[in-house]
Amino acid sequence: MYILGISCYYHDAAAALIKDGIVLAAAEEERFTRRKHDSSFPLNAINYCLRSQGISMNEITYIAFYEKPLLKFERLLSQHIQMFPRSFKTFVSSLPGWINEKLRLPKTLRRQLGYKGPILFIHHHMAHAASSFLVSPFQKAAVVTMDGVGEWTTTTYGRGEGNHLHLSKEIRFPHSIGLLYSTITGYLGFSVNNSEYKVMGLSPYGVMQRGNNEYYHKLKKVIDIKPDGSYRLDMRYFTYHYGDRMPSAALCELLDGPVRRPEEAITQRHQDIAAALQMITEEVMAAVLQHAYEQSGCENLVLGGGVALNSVYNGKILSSTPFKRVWIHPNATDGGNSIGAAIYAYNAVLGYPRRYVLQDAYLGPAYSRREIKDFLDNSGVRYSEFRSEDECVSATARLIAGDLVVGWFQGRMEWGPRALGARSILSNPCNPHMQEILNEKVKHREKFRPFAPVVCEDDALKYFDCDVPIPEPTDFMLMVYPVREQWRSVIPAVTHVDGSGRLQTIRRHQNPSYYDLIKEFGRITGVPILINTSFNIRGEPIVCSPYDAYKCMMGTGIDCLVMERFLIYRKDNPQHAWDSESLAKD
Amino acid sequence: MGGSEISEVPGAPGQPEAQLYRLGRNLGFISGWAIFTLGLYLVLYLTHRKLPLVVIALAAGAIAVAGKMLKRIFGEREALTSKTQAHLQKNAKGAIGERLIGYYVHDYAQGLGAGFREFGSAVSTLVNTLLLAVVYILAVGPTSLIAKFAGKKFLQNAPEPENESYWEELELGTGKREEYYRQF
Repeated sequence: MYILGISCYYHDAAAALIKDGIVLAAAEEERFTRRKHDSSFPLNAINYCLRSQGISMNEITYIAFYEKPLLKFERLLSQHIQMFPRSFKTFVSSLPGWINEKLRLPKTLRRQLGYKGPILFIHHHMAHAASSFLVSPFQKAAVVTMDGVGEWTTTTYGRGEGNHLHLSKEIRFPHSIGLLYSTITGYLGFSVNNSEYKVMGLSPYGVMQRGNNEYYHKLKKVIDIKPDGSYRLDMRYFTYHYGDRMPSAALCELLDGPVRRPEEAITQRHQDIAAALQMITEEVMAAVLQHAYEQSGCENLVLGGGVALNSVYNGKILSSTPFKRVWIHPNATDGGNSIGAAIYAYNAVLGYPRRYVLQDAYLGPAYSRREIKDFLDNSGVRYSEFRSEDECVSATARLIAGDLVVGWFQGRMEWGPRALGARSILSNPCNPHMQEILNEKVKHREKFRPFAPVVCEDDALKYFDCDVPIPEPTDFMLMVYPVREQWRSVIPAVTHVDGSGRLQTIRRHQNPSYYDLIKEFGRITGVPILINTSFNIRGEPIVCSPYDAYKCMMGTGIDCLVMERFLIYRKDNPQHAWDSESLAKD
Repeated sequence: MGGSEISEVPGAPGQPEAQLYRLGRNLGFISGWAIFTLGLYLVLYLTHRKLPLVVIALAAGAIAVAGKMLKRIFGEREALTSKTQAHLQKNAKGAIGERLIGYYVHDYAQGLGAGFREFGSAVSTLVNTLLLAVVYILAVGPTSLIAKFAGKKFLQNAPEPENESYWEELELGTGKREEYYRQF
């Protein structure tokens, strides 16, 4: 039985295909359309899912959609009625989309896909919960979901057991820790729903002690947190419930200044605000998790929703809460709800037993040797080809050890926002200048943003102060841990200002060539760690096809590209060089 | 295969295809304006209301400009229909080397189509805005006033320090299959 899961129309449209409860393919629409966070109907992602299994829509038994559109519309109308007449602008701008697209999903599916079968609509937060619990290794777990907003819900907790999920309590819109985080992200001059992780990366530069950070006390005025983890925002400081601009004038006054313009320098005040926000978010999450533990009596925890991407706090969960194990979906945002909706439909709604655990995030398209060779030949690219996998791995390791920046394009594309060794830029973490080189020549991004390390799972404890045993979400770069002190000066390029690193651990069965590459680099340099950053120009999605990868290399300072066993040097193809810096933006 | 005949990578700024696309888009917008003007003129002529062509042209231009300004104010996202998506996907440049003359004509034609759609979108934005403003004032407004008089609150906007907890009952579990066919 094939079930197609779909999420779209808000942000991060995606599609996922499951067969008899096993996830076969999943991808975000943005990777095909090249528009970041593309929210339009994910036709390309759906076509990929079907093509990957050689099937058509005729074979699809159910389509599962990730939310209840009419409930969401009810919430929207409630906002407009409550906030009349201030909500006029958003009413006029948002309603056409609802009338033309969002309320017509069954018609859209029939017209665009020729699909006449049943459609199942799954509650948004249930899809979040399912995307984590039903593909986790746990048979029993406490479930907590936190995001901007679904239909009405922004935060829930509950319990999962076997096939079933039960969400007990909720916090309703407009009170949302996710929207608080997004509001401050917008206040600090970064793009909302896109750059929250930058604010997380900025926070260690601020004062991370509650007593000494004046903005912590100021921001505490906008949120009332109860001992049981529930919270409520003072909506006088926000405008997202009626306007298109998130921070209100009252919030700007509270934080001693207007919204930061993107070209404005980041000051200590901005850093302290980021730190205050991170501390408050961690306070809320800790209280919610403690309450969920007390209510569920489970030692296992699954997290879902966009707030679950706060990897700085995730790294503290096991050491600061009673939970013994944690699992988080690699695509915990709305895109991941396509898998959540599909797997919930199969296991919970239709009642089939669970038979799948998500071991890796390589669910996207791969390209064959023939396809890559045809592309290179047709485009007149100068390249060479390794004779074997071993030669490819050892040569690439030597290139990285020689301080070259290498684009690594192998196998199936990753699912989720992180590059995990299928579409990655790899470089030498021991070079103290590598962070600067990557930021200025390749990624064109803010200087404060750190790069992330990748290490083989069996070496991780030597270099990082991780939880023991190492939690599975570390495989998806969802946990931040301290770099052990004696190694911080050895791998400066991946050590953040507070001594931490958002590491990826890799196990050999997940990605053998990536694992072997890291080991080989370790044999050459003595340090089996690489810098792993996403293979894209700033402002663009991660590359998907050979064309995207080649174009990215030729427009940046990436020295060479290893695509399966093909090696292409940028300097060998000057006729295709172009400058991406003018395009680089959020 | 020898070296490529092209000197630039598709999609990069300042490339020939970007300039041709922009030219096509501008001409498409102007063509849309011209066709709309002629259409209006024909309708008025057939209904025996004669207005000078220049006046109609100016009115059509004003409608389009107003629509574009409203689009900027309300920040309406132009939803890509699947047809447009499929069209773009089909025309995505997979082979950098194949820059034949046909592709340049193709880029211009794409721009022309985009210009037409832009004009139509501007006019529809203006019409939508006017209609929605009427709905907002005549439907949402009175509902809001009645709700305020009745003391009904759809959103809770302020903390209540005297409350021990803000958790609300949800009790969401697996329901009957029929519930999932509903969009609510």
